[in-house]
Amino acid sequence: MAPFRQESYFVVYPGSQRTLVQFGIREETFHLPQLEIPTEVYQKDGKFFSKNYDGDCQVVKPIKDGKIQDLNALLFFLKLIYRSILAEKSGGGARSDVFETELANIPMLLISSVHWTQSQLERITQFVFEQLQINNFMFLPSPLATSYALGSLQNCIVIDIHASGTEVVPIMDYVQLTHLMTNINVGGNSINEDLAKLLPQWDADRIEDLKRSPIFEVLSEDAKQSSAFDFQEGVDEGALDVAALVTSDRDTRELLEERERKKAQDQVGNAQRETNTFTDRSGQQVVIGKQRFQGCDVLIGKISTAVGLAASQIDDFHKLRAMWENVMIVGGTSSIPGFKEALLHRLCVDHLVQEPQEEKQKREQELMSQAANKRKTKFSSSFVNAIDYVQIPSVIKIAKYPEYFPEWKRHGFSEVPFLGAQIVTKQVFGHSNESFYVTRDKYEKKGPSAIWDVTF
Amino acid sequence: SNISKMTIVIHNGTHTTIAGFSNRDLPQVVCPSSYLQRNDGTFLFGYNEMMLAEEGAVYTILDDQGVPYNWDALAAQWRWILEDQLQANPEEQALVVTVAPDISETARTQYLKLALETLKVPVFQMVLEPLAVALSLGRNTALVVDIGAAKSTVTPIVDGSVLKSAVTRSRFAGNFLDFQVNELVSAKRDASESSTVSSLDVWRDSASWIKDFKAYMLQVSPSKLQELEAMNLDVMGMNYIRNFLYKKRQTLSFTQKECCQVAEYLFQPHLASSHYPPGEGLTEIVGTAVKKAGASSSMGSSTSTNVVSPEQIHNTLLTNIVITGSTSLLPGLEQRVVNELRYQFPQYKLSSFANPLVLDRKLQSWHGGVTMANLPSWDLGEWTSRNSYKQESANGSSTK
Repeated sequence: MAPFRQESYFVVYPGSQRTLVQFGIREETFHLPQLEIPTEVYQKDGKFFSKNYDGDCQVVKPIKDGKIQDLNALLFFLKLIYRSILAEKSGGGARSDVFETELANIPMLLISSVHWTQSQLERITQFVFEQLQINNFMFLPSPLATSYALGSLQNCIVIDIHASGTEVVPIMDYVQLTHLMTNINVGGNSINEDLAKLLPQWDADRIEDLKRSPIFEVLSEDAKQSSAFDFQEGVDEGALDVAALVTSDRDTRELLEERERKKAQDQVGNAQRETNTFTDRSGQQVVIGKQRFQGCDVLIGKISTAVGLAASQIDDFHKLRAMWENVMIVGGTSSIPGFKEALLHRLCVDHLVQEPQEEKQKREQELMSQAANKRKTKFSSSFVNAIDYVQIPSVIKIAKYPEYFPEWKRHGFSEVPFLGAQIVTKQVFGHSNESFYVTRDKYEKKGPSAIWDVTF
Repeated sequence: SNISKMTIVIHNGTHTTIAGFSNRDLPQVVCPSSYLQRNDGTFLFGYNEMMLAEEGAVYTILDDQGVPYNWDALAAQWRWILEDQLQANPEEQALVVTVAPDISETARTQYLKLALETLKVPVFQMVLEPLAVALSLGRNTALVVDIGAAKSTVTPIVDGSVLKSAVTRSRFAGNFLDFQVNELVSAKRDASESSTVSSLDVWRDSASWIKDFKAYMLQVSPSKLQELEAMNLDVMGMNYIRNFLYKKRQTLSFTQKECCQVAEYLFQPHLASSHYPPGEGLTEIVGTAVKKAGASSSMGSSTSTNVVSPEQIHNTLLTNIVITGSTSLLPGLEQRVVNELRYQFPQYKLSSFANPLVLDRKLQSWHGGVTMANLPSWDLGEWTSRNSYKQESANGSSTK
């Protein structure tokens, strides 16, 4: 089979809320998906519709937190997307010549969730070949897609935050270890729930609007220190953290200067303001105080625990080390400013293998008194050597997001699996090697289970 | 008649259970072989679920021989795997499970009952775990040394048959090391720490820091520690110090010698306690299995036309040593087994294989089951169908 036309690549990423669709990948760079459609259909008397015709149809959301709730509704939804693309490209059938060019041989890539079961995946495959009459098809699991978006990372951990669930999936040697994934039943909605407790007089829509507004932010530990609010009770903000000065290996004077600089340059930032405003969906300007920095702690804590559980099941330490250095976070929640950084901070606090503070201070005191006894005049190297541990991780990092896709960079990377899928289509469909997708031939021979012979 | 060739394979190890569809490269479920019973009596399966549980007691399903004794729990676990995790309907699903190489008739009957009567699977097959491992590696003759959690098992296989009378076993394996590691660490950690008492705490310790300690700290020396010392040979750097962060709150330092000492107990359990009999060390039970296999063949083949001598059996087994099981991943273990066998059987050539990839070795028994499930024809496997089972049990009861 000769490689396909790039203008015919068909990529679909069905999410719980919205589905991203693109028909045709451009030559030069990767663009944002053309279509963003709410993942929902209408149902009446057991039949599905694209619109609420009589006004008395029921809305069906086929996917929830990645899981397929209603497979038939999802299949109907996929058909709807495919048909509208065919209709649009052919001018409603008027331009029949496109069926010999652009629409002649459409290769389809569907981004799948780790929650989709064996039989669901086979049913979708069957539907694609028998109902949509597509001749070349592949699934790409979303964690793998994410790893390909970030430069095909060999070993990494992917955190996908849904509305009311989060999954943590390790990838080892380009293989997604679905059997070691950790699921928790909290997601972005938990932020709304926590905000509702802090803002009991607000309705759900306004809370959602606050969460999505640019002033909603998770402050870093440093920002919390310098913010106008007192986030930690009992901490005197004016006091110098002597321990921090001693344990840091930077020059004391330098640190003091930096403190002064920080004090001087406050005013502007969101973090330094006592209140700030955002516009809600009704166009109203709403003033909000400290709560715009709150509500994420519980979620972040639970995700960190889940990441620890997933990592604790990896027995290959070389690979585990690399995984901890490539943590990826996707899903809308991850686009909250400061969220990723705060999660990274929490991961470090919870999982980094480092000397307990108490022990370190004790060692430092011992060393200082020894040094003092030896030589009263000179304050020589008072810093103790770090202890080397056998365990992992000694470093935790968020994977670096790609700089070279300008449109995506501007857009943000919460939907980065789609970018990964775009990259993979070029590798897979632009090649004469057919081993990564199901062709009509393979389907005719083996039926829907042909999908298991080709996993990417 | 029209049953899909897709099969589910379940491997119940004494520590970990692995399950998945036979047409996939990786399993979909890896979970503890134990379960948690909540205070309200309900069962909880799964690693994450058990790690996050707030209360309850942990129980095992299989005994120290790798044979289920808690059949109700096994039924519940299989249901959880099939229906909850794999979202499959057991009544439409061919099922393969791995079982101990010398499984008793009673246990076999129980397995059949569970699969065909309780879960109503249409067709069912039990495969002997070490045989499946050997065949999946393309060997029909092998000496399978499986060092798991509750037990070490040595299974001689000749021409595709398990020599049941020559299977040897000891309880000196992963769980035994857990206990020894806990002893070593208890002596060093803060005395103020109360010792763990609940079965859930014990299970969590074993699944968390003890597991890490075994993986990061333990090492097997190439020959008996006392011999190395007597020769004044310090090939291992015995005074080298390694730091272990215990439960994120205390730094504990151990010499290489201490770490080697714990692993040494697998080979010389009597050094850990005089209660443990000598002669049950790992290499000793391997040697015993080889000798028993030789002896059994000379008896069994006397009537057969192609007479096989004990020496031939020894030779064929010793050149086909397959080392598997999670505890076999201890660094240096394979070399030590080979070194000691060379000493026991100086006249034979030795050759061993242990899968170098950690993940592959951990999943090896499941992969063995998958190989058996995917044999090109149904006739090649020993399947029992629900229909024939029903008929047989009907006939059985009518003759009574």
